[in-house]
Amino acid sequence: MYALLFPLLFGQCGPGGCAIPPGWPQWQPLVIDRTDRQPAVFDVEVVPQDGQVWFDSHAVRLLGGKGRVQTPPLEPGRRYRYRVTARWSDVERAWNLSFSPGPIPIPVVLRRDEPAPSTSGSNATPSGSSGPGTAPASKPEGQLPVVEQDGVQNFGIDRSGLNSTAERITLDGRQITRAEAAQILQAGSLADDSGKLRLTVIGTESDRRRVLDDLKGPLADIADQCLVQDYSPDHWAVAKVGFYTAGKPTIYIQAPDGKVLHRQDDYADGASGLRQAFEHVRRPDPNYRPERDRDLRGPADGLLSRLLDMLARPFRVIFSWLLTAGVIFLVIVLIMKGWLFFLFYLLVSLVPGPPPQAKTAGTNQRQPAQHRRARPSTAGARAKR
Amino acid sequence: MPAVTYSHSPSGRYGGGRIAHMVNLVHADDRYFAVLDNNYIGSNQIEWMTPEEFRRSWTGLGGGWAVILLAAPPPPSPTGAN
Repeated sequence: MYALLFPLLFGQCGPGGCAIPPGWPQWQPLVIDRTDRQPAVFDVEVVPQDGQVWFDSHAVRLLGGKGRVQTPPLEPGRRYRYRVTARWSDVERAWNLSFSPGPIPIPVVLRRDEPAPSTSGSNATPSGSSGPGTAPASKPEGQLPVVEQDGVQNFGIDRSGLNSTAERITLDGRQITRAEAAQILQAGSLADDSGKLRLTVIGTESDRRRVLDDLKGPLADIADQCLVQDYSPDHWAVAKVGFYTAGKPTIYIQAPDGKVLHRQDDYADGASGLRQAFEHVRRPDPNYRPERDRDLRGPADGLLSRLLDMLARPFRVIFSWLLTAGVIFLVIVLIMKGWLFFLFYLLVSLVPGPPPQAKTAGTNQRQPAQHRRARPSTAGARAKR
Repeated sequence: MPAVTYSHSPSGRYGGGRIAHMVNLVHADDRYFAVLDNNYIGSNQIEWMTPEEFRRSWTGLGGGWAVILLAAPPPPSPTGAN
Protein backbone atom coordinates (compact mmCIF):
# COMPACT_ATOMS: atom_id res chain seq x y z
CA MET A 1 0.00 0.00 0.00
CA TYR A 2 2.98 2.21 0.37
CA ALA A 3 4.29 1.47 -3.06
CA LEU A 4 4.66 4.52 -5.22
CA LEU A 5 5.32 3.45 -8.72
CA PHE A 6 7.16 5.99 -10.75
CA PRO A 7 7.35 4.95 -14.33
CA LEU A 8 9.48 7.20 -16.45
CA LEU A 9 8.29 6.29 -19.86
CA PHE A 10 10.16 6.95 -23.00
CA GLY A 11 7.58 5.75 -25.40
CA GLN A 12 3.97 5.92 -26.30
CA CYS A 13 1.32 4.66 -23.94
CA GLY A 14 -2.08 3.38 -24.69
CA PRO A 15 -5.23 5.35 -23.99
CA GLY A 16 -5.47 3.80 -20.57
CA GLY A 17 -2.06 5.07 -19.60
CA CYS A 18 1.35 3.51 -19.55
CA ALA A 19 0.74 0.00 -18.44
CA ILE A 20 3.32 -1.71 -16.34
CA PRO A 21 3.33 -5.34 -17.37
CA PRO A 22 1.06 -7.10 -14.91
CA GLY A 23 3.54 -9.85 -14.33
CA TRP A 24 6.40 -7.52 -13.48
CA PRO A 25 8.51 -7.90 -11.46
CA GLN A 26 8.78 -11.64 -11.31
CA TRP A 27 11.70 -13.95 -11.35
CA GLN A 28 11.78 -15.52 -14.72
CA PRO A 29 13.32 -18.87 -15.49
CA LEU A 30 16.88 -19.02 -16.59
CA VAL A 31 16.94 -19.44 -20.34
CA ILE A 32 19.50 -21.93 -21.54
CA ASP A 33 20.00 -22.51 -25.20
CA ARG A 34 20.59 -26.17 -25.91
CA THR A 35 20.63 -27.74 -29.30
CA ASP A 36 18.45 -30.68 -28.28
CA ARG A 37 15.68 -28.38 -27.26
CA GLN A 38 12.97 -27.20 -29.55
CA PRO A 39 10.25 -24.63 -29.33
CA ALA A 40 6.55 -25.17 -29.36
CA VAL A 41 4.49 -23.22 -31.85
CA PHE A 42 0.84 -22.34 -31.48
CA ASP A 43 -1.32 -21.15 -34.33
CA VAL A 44 -3.95 -19.16 -32.50
CA GLU A 45 -7.33 -18.22 -33.89
CA VAL A 46 -10.15 -16.38 -32.15
CA VAL A 47 -13.76 -16.58 -33.24
CA PRO A 48 -15.19 -13.95 -33.62
CA GLN A 49 -12.14 -12.11 -34.83
CA ASP A 50 -12.46 -9.11 -32.52
CA GLY A 51 -11.18 -11.02 -29.53
CA GLN A 52 -7.90 -10.40 -27.75
CA VAL A 53 -5.65 -13.22 -26.53
CA TRP A 54 -3.00 -13.52 -23.85
CA PHE A 55 -0.60 -16.37 -23.16
CA ASP A 56 0.06 -15.81 -19.49
CA SER A 57 0.63 -12.06 -19.42
CA HIS A 58 1.83 -11.80 -23.01
CA ALA A 59 -0.59 -10.29 -25.45
CA VAL A 60 -0.72 -12.16 -28.74
CA ARG A 61 -0.62 -10.06 -31.85
CA LEU A 62 -3.53 -11.03 -34.05
CA LEU A 63 -4.19 -10.17 -37.63
CA GLY A 64 -7.66 -11.02 -38.80
CA GLY A 65 -8.23 -13.02 -35.65
CA LYS A 66 -5.15 -15.18 -36.25
CA GLY A 67 -1.67 -15.15 -34.77
CA ARG A 68 1.26 -17.36 -33.91
CA VAL A 69 2.98 -17.89 -30.59
CA GLN A 70 6.36 -19.52 -30.32
CA THR A 71 8.02 -20.53 -27.09
CA PRO A 72 11.76 -20.55 -26.46
CA PRO A 73 13.55 -23.86 -26.94
CA LEU A 74 12.07 -26.32 -24.47
CA GLU A 75 13.05 -29.73 -23.20
CA PRO A 76 11.50 -32.50 -25.30
CA GLY A 77 9.13 -34.82 -23.52
CA ARG A 78 8.47 -32.43 -20.68
CA ARG A 79 5.09 -30.84 -20.25
CA TYR A 80 4.65 -27.12 -19.91
CA ARG A 81 1.66 -24.95 -19.27
CA TYR A 82 0.30 -21.59 -20.30
CA ARG A 83 -2.67 -19.73 -18.97
CA VAL A 84 -4.53 -18.68 -22.08
CA THR A 85 -7.01 -15.84 -21.82
CA ALA A 86 -9.33 -14.62 -24.54
CA ARG A 87 -11.43 -11.53 -24.17
CA TRP A 88 -14.24 -10.22 -26.31
CA SER A 89 -16.31 -7.15 -25.66
CA ASP A 90 -18.63 -8.93 -23.27
CA VAL A 91 -17.00 -12.23 -22.45
CA GLU A 92 -13.68 -13.31 -21.05
CA ARG A 93 -12.56 -16.91 -20.97
CA ALA A 94 -9.42 -18.48 -19.55
CA TRP A 95 -7.89 -21.92 -19.92
CA ASN A 96 -4.82 -23.83 -18.87
CA LEU A 97 -3.07 -25.09 -21.97
CA SER A 98 -0.79 -28.00 -21.20
CA PHE A 99 1.58 -29.09 -23.94
CA SER A 100 4.85 -30.69 -24.89
CA PRO A 101 7.17 -29.08 -27.42
CA GLY A 102 7.17 -30.61 -30.85
CA PRO A 103 7.99 -29.82 -34.46
CA ILE A 104 4.38 -29.45 -35.57
CA PRO A 105 2.50 -26.19 -34.87
CA ILE A 106 -0.40 -26.65 -32.49
CA PRO A 107 -3.65 -25.07 -33.64
CA VAL A 108 -5.53 -23.36 -30.83
CA VAL A 109 -9.01 -22.10 -31.73
CA LEU A 110 -10.64 -19.93 -29.10
CA ARG A 111 -14.34 -19.56 -29.68
CA ARG A 112 -16.42 -17.04 -27.87
CA ASP A 113 -19.37 -19.41 -27.54
CA GLU A 114 -17.46 -22.51 -26.48
CA PRO A 115 -16.18 -22.94 -22.95
CA ALA A 116 -13.03 -24.82 -24.01
CA PRO A 117 -10.64 -24.17 -26.85
CA SER A 118 -10.26 -26.75 -29.54
CA THR A 119 -6.81 -28.07 -30.18
CA SER A 120 -5.53 -30.80 -32.42
CA GLY A 121 -2.51 -32.97 -31.97
CA SER A 122 -1.60 -35.17 -29.09
CA ASN A 123 0.84 -32.79 -27.47
CA ALA A 124 -1.64 -30.15 -26.28
CA THR A 125 -4.41 -30.43 -23.73
CA PRO A 126 -6.72 -27.57 -22.84
CA SER A 127 -8.40 -27.48 -19.47
CA GLY A 128 -9.78 -24.95 -17.07
CA SER A 129 -12.75 -22.78 -16.46
CA SER A 130 -14.47 -20.12 -18.43
CA GLY A 131 -17.60 -18.13 -18.25
CA PRO A 132 -19.46 -15.17 -19.54
CA GLY A 133 -19.15 -11.73 -18.11
CA THR A 134 -16.31 -9.35 -17.57
CA ALA A 135 -14.45 -11.10 -14.82
CA PRO A 136 -10.99 -9.75 -14.15
CA ALA A 137 -8.18 -11.43 -15.97
CA SER A 138 -6.58 -14.30 -14.14
CA LYS A 139 -3.37 -13.63 -12.34
CA PRO A 140 -0.53 -14.34 -14.76
CA GLU A 141 1.43 -17.40 -13.87
CA GLY A 142 4.44 -16.36 -15.87
CA GLN A 143 6.14 -19.71 -16.30
CA LEU A 144 7.58 -19.21 -19.74
CA PRO A 145 8.83 -16.43 -21.96
CA VAL A 146 7.20 -16.23 -25.34
CA VAL A 147 8.97 -15.88 -28.65
CA GLU A 148 6.86 -13.53 -30.67
CA GLN A 149 6.35 -13.49 -34.40
CA ASP A 150 9.17 -11.05 -35.01
CA GLY A 151 11.56 -13.30 -33.13
CA VAL A 152 11.65 -11.28 -29.92
CA GLN A 153 11.79 -13.44 -26.83
CA ASN A 154 9.37 -11.71 -24.51
CA PHE A 155 9.77 -12.05 -20.75
CA GLY A 156 6.61 -10.15 -19.92
CA ILE A 157 6.74 -6.76 -21.58
CA ASP A 158 3.55 -5.26 -22.97
CA ARG A 159 5.16 -4.00 -26.13
CA SER A 160 2.13 -2.00 -27.17
CA GLY A 161 3.31 0.69 -24.76
CA LEU A 162 6.70 1.02 -26.42
CA ASN A 163 6.03 2.26 -29.91
CA SER A 164 6.55 5.99 -29.86
CA THR A 165 9.21 8.55 -29.10
CA ALA A 166 7.13 10.85 -26.91
CA GLU A 167 8.38 11.10 -23.37
CA ARG A 168 5.84 10.62 -20.65
CA ILE A 169 6.47 10.70 -16.91
CA THR A 170 3.93 9.44 -14.43
CA LEU A 171 3.70 9.09 -10.68
CA ASP A 172 1.22 6.46 -9.57
CA GLY A 173 -0.32 6.66 -13.02
CA ARG A 174 -0.67 10.45 -12.91
CA GLN A 175 1.29 12.35 -15.50
CA ILE A 176 3.77 14.86 -14.08
CA THR A 177 6.30 17.23 -15.56
CA ARG A 178 10.00 16.61 -15.84
CA ALA A 179 10.64 19.32 -13.25
CA GLU A 180 8.31 17.62 -10.79
CA ALA A 181 10.05 14.32 -11.41
CA ALA A 182 13.44 15.88 -10.77
CA GLN A 183 12.15 17.44 -7.58
CA ILE A 184 10.80 14.12 -6.34
CA LEU A 185 13.99 12.28 -7.14
CA GLN A 186 16.08 14.86 -5.31
CA ALA A 187 13.80 15.05 -2.30
CA GLY A 188 14.46 13.43 1.03
CA SER A 189 12.14 10.57 0.23
CA LEU A 190 14.95 9.02 -1.77
CA ALA A 191 17.56 9.39 0.96
CA ASP A 192 19.87 6.44 1.33
CA ASP A 193 18.38 4.34 4.10
CA SER A 194 20.31 1.20 3.29
CA GLY A 195 22.33 1.46 6.50
CA LYS A 196 19.39 1.81 8.85
CA LEU A 197 18.11 -0.89 11.13
CA ARG A 198 14.91 -2.58 9.92
CA LEU A 199 12.01 -2.47 12.33
CA THR A 200 9.20 -4.62 10.98
CA VAL A 201 5.81 -5.09 12.60
CA ILE A 202 3.79 -8.12 11.50
CA GLY A 203 0.27 -8.69 12.70
CA THR A 204 -3.33 -7.73 12.40
CA GLU A 205 -4.28 -4.18 11.64
CA SER A 206 -5.21 -3.42 15.25
CA ASP A 207 -2.08 -5.04 16.68
CA ARG A 208 0.15 -3.16 14.26
CA ARG A 209 -1.65 0.08 14.92
CA ARG A 210 -0.68 0.09 18.60
CA VAL A 211 3.00 -0.16 17.73
CA LEU A 212 2.86 2.31 14.87
CA ASP A 213 1.09 4.87 17.01
CA ASP A 214 3.82 4.59 19.62
CA LEU A 215 6.48 4.89 16.95
CA LYS A 216 4.92 8.20 15.97
CA GLY A 217 4.72 9.27 19.60
CA PRO A 218 6.91 8.20 22.50
CA LEU A 219 9.12 6.03 20.29
CA ALA A 220 9.60 8.59 17.53
CA ASP A 221 13.33 8.78 18.22
CA ILE A 222 13.59 5.05 17.61
CA ALA A 223 11.56 5.31 14.43
CA ASP A 224 13.99 7.92 13.15
CA GLN A 225 16.84 5.46 13.48
CA CYS A 226 15.04 2.63 11.72
CA LEU A 227 13.31 1.80 8.51
CA VAL A 228 9.84 1.04 9.86
CA GLN A 229 7.48 -1.17 7.89
CA ASP A 230 4.40 -3.13 8.81
CA TYR A 231 2.68 -6.05 7.15
CA SER A 232 -0.20 -8.38 7.63
CA PRO A 233 0.90 -11.97 8.34
CA ASP A 234 -0.03 -13.14 4.86
CA HIS A 235 1.76 -10.37 3.01
CA TRP A 236 4.19 -11.66 0.39
CA ALA A 237 7.03 -9.63 1.83
CA VAL A 238 7.06 -11.69 5.04
CA ALA A 239 4.85 -14.74 4.55
CA LYS A 240 7.21 -17.16 2.81
CA VAL A 241 10.66 -15.79 3.42
CA GLY A 242 11.28 -17.05 6.93
CA PHE A 243 9.60 -14.47 9.14
CA TYR A 244 7.65 -15.64 12.16
CA THR A 245 4.24 -14.12 11.61
CA ALA A 246 2.04 -15.50 14.41
CA GLY A 247 2.83 -12.86 17.03
CA LYS A 248 0.38 -10.35 18.38
CA PRO A 249 2.15 -8.62 16.79
CA THR A 250 5.59 -9.88 15.89
CA ILE A 251 8.21 -7.15 15.96
CA TYR A 252 11.56 -7.64 14.31
CA ILE A 253 14.64 -5.45 14.57
CA GLN A 254 17.16 -6.50 11.94
CA ALA A 255 20.52 -5.34 10.79
CA PRO A 256 20.58 -4.18 7.18
CA ASP A 257 22.00 -7.56 6.14
CA GLY A 258 19.02 -9.38 7.64
CA LYS A 259 20.56 -10.53 10.90
CA VAL A 260 17.89 -10.59 13.57
CA LEU A 261 18.91 -8.41 16.50
CA HIS A 262 15.64 -8.61 18.38
CA ARG A 263 12.26 -10.23 18.03
CA GLN A 264 9.23 -10.09 20.24
CA ASP A 265 5.90 -11.74 19.64
CA ASP A 266 3.70 -9.51 21.73
CA TYR A 267 3.41 -5.92 22.75
CA ALA A 268 2.23 -6.53 26.29
CA ASP A 269 4.78 -4.21 27.83
CA GLY A 270 4.10 -1.51 25.31
CA ALA A 271 6.48 1.23 24.35
CA SER A 272 8.72 0.80 27.38
CA GLY A 273 9.49 -2.80 26.51
CA LEU A 274 10.31 -2.00 22.93
CA ARG A 275 12.49 0.90 24.01
CA GLN A 276 14.35 -1.33 26.43
CA ALA A 277 14.97 -3.87 23.68
CA PHE A 278 16.11 -1.20 21.27
CA GLU A 279 18.51 0.29 23.77
CA HIS A 280 19.89 -3.17 24.36
CA VAL A 281 20.44 -3.54 20.63
CA ARG A 282 22.23 -0.20 20.50
CA ARG A 283 24.27 -0.74 23.66
CA PRO A 284 27.97 0.14 23.42
CA ASP A 285 30.37 -2.59 22.48
CA PRO A 286 32.04 -3.69 25.72
CA ASN A 287 35.22 -4.51 23.83
CA TYR A 288 35.55 -1.06 22.34
CA ARG A 289 38.60 0.86 23.59
CA PRO A 290 38.57 4.48 22.51
CA GLU A 291 42.23 4.86 23.44
CA ARG A 292 43.09 2.38 20.71
CA ASP A 293 41.50 4.48 18.02
CA ARG A 294 44.00 5.57 15.44
CA ASP A 295 44.37 9.13 14.22
CA LEU A 296 45.48 8.59 10.66
CA ARG A 297 46.51 12.22 10.15
CA GLY A 298 49.76 11.88 12.09
CA PRO A 299 53.03 10.56 10.64
CA ALA A 300 53.20 7.98 13.43
CA ASP A 301 50.96 5.73 11.42
CA GLY A 302 53.18 5.75 8.40
CA LEU A 303 54.73 2.55 7.18
CA LEU A 304 58.24 3.64 8.15
CA SER A 305 57.14 4.67 11.60
CA ARG A 306 55.44 1.39 12.18
CA LEU A 307 58.53 -0.46 10.99
CA LEU A 308 60.77 1.49 13.37
CA ASP A 309 58.34 0.93 16.18
CA MET A 310 58.35 -2.79 15.54
CA LEU A 311 62.15 -2.91 15.46
CA ALA A 312 62.51 -0.84 18.63
CA ARG A 313 60.11 -2.91 20.63
CA PRO A 314 62.66 -5.62 21.66
CA PHE A 315 65.13 -2.96 22.78
CA ARG A 316 62.50 -1.34 24.94
CA VAL A 317 61.80 -4.66 26.63
CA ILE A 318 65.49 -5.30 27.25
CA PHE A 319 66.00 -1.81 28.60
CA SER A 320 63.12 -2.13 31.03
CA TRP A 321 64.50 -5.42 32.36
CA LEU A 322 67.98 -3.91 32.77
CA LEU A 323 66.54 -0.96 34.63
CA THR A 324 64.65 -3.24 36.98
CA ALA A 325 67.74 -5.36 37.61
CA GLY A 326 69.80 -2.25 38.34
CA VAL A 327 67.37 -1.02 40.97
CA ILE A 328 67.32 -4.42 42.66
CA PHE A 329 71.12 -4.58 42.60
CA LEU A 330 71.37 -1.15 44.18
CA VAL A 331 69.03 -2.11 47.00
CA ILE A 332 71.04 -5.28 47.67
CA VAL A 333 74.29 -3.32 47.78
CA LEU A 334 72.82 -0.79 50.19
CA ILE A 335 71.68 -3.58 52.48
CA MET A 336 75.05 -5.31 52.36
CA LYS A 337 76.87 -2.07 53.10
CA GLY A 338 74.70 -1.43 56.13
CA TRP A 339 73.15 1.64 54.64
CA LEU A 340 69.68 0.28 55.01
CA PHE A 341 68.82 2.67 57.83
CA PHE A 342 70.12 5.56 55.76
CA LEU A 343 68.00 4.33 52.88
CA PHE A 344 64.88 4.27 55.03
CA TYR A 345 65.69 7.72 56.39
CA LEU A 346 66.11 8.96 52.86
CA LEU A 347 62.77 7.49 51.82
CA VAL A 348 60.99 8.91 54.86
CA SER A 349 62.43 12.33 54.20
CA LEU A 350 60.95 12.22 50.74
CA VAL A 351 57.46 11.62 52.10
CA PRO A 352 55.74 14.97 52.68
CA GLY A 353 54.93 15.66 56.30
CA PRO A 354 51.66 16.91 57.80
CA PRO A 355 50.75 20.53 57.12
CA PRO A 356 52.13 23.01 59.68
CA GLN A 357 49.74 23.98 62.43
CA ALA A 358 48.26 27.44 62.54
CA LYS A 359 50.42 29.82 64.50
CA THR A 360 49.68 33.04 66.29
CA ALA A 361 50.53 36.36 64.79
CA GLY A 362 53.34 36.88 67.32
CA THR A 363 54.90 33.59 66.41
CA ASN A 364 54.71 34.44 62.76
CA GLN A 365 56.42 37.69 63.42
CA ARG A 366 59.22 35.91 65.19
CA GLN A 367 59.91 33.47 62.38
CA PRO A 368 61.77 35.92 60.10
CA ALA A 369 63.96 36.92 63.02
CA GLN A 370 64.95 33.26 63.56
CA HIS A 371 65.83 32.97 59.90
CA ARG A 372 67.81 36.13 60.08
CA ARG A 373 69.74 34.77 63.10
CA ALA A 374 70.50 31.50 61.38
CA ARG A 375 71.99 33.01 58.32
CA PRO A 376 74.97 34.67 60.04
CA SER A 377 75.82 31.39 61.77
CA THR A 378 75.83 29.67 58.43
CA ALA A 379 77.99 32.36 57.01
CA GLY A 380 80.30 32.00 59.98
CA ALA A 381 80.56 28.30 59.40
CA ARG A 382 81.48 28.93 55.82
CA ALA A 383 84.10 31.43 56.99
CA LYS A 384 85.56 28.85 59.36
CA ARG A 385 85.83 26.40 56.49
CA MET B 1 17.64 1.83 -8.50
CA PRO B 2 15.82 2.08 -11.82
CA ALA B 3 14.37 -0.90 -13.60
CA VAL B 4 14.75 -0.44 -17.33
CA THR B 5 13.68 -2.14 -20.50
CA TYR B 6 16.31 -4.28 -22.16
CA SER B 7 16.07 -5.40 -25.77
CA HIS B 8 19.37 -7.14 -26.35
CA SER B 9 22.54 -8.04 -24.53
CA PRO B 10 25.65 -6.22 -25.76
CA SER B 11 27.77 -9.07 -24.42
CA GLY B 12 25.86 -11.70 -26.38
CA ARG B 13 23.55 -13.23 -23.82
CA TYR B 14 20.29 -14.82 -24.97
CA GLY B 15 22.06 -16.06 -28.05
CA GLY B 16 22.59 -12.50 -29.17
CA GLY B 17 18.92 -12.27 -30.12
CA ARG B 18 16.32 -9.65 -29.44
CA ILE B 19 14.40 -9.90 -26.23
CA ALA B 20 11.73 -7.95 -24.41
CA HIS B 21 12.85 -7.83 -20.83
CA MET B 22 13.46 -5.54 -17.87
CA VAL B 23 16.63 -5.41 -15.81
CA ASN B 24 18.05 -3.42 -12.94
CA LEU B 25 20.29 -0.51 -13.82
CA VAL B 26 22.80 -0.68 -10.99
CA HIS B 27 25.30 1.88 -12.26
CA ALA B 28 25.38 4.75 -14.71
CA ASP B 29 27.93 7.44 -15.39
CA ASP B 30 29.38 9.21 -18.38
CA ARG B 31 31.49 6.23 -19.36
CA TYR B 32 29.77 3.06 -18.24
CA PHE B 33 26.34 1.65 -17.57
CA ALA B 34 25.81 -1.63 -15.73
CA VAL B 35 22.77 -3.86 -15.56
CA LEU B 36 21.84 -6.77 -13.34
CA ASP B 37 19.66 -9.35 -15.05
CA ASN B 38 17.53 -11.74 -12.98
CA ASN B 39 18.44 -14.48 -15.44
CA TYR B 40 22.14 -13.88 -14.73
CA ILE B 41 22.31 -13.26 -11.02
CA GLY B 42 25.44 -12.75 -8.96
CA SER B 43 27.89 -9.96 -8.32
CA ASN B 44 30.15 -11.35 -11.04
CA GLN B 45 27.35 -11.30 -13.58
CA ILE B 46 26.97 -7.55 -13.86
CA GLU B 47 26.93 -6.61 -17.51
CA TRP B 48 28.90 -3.46 -18.27
CA MET B 49 28.36 -1.44 -21.40
CA THR B 50 28.89 1.97 -22.86
CA PRO B 51 26.16 4.61 -22.65
CA GLU B 52 25.44 4.17 -26.33
CA GLU B 53 25.12 0.40 -26.00
CA PHE B 54 22.75 0.94 -23.13
CA ARG B 55 20.66 3.43 -25.05
CA ARG B 56 20.32 0.98 -27.93
CA SER B 57 19.30 -1.84 -25.62
CA TRP B 58 16.98 0.36 -23.57
CA THR B 59 15.05 1.75 -26.50
CA GLY B 60 15.48 -1.15 -28.90
CA LEU B 61 11.84 -2.13 -28.70
CA GLY B 62 10.70 1.24 -30.01
CA GLY B 63 10.91 3.06 -26.70
CA GLY B 64 12.03 2.52 -23.16
CA TRP B 65 10.65 2.35 -19.69
CA ALA B 66 12.47 3.38 -16.54
CA VAL B 67 10.61 2.48 -13.39
CA ILE B 68 11.77 3.83 -10.04
CA LEU B 69 10.18 2.56 -6.85
CA LEU B 70 9.99 5.36 -4.34
CA ALA B 71 8.93 3.10 -1.48
CA ALA B 72 11.41 1.23 0.67
CA PRO B 73 12.02 -2.40 -0.16
CA PRO B 74 10.66 -5.18 2.03
CA PRO B 75 12.82 -6.25 4.95
CA PRO B 76 15.61 -8.69 4.22
CA SER B 77 15.00 -12.33 4.99
CA PRO B 78 15.83 -13.01 8.63
CA THR B 79 19.16 -14.66 9.23
CA GLY B 80 21.47 -15.52 12.07
CA ALA B 81 19.05 -14.89 14.88
CA ASN B 82 20.75 -14.28 18.20
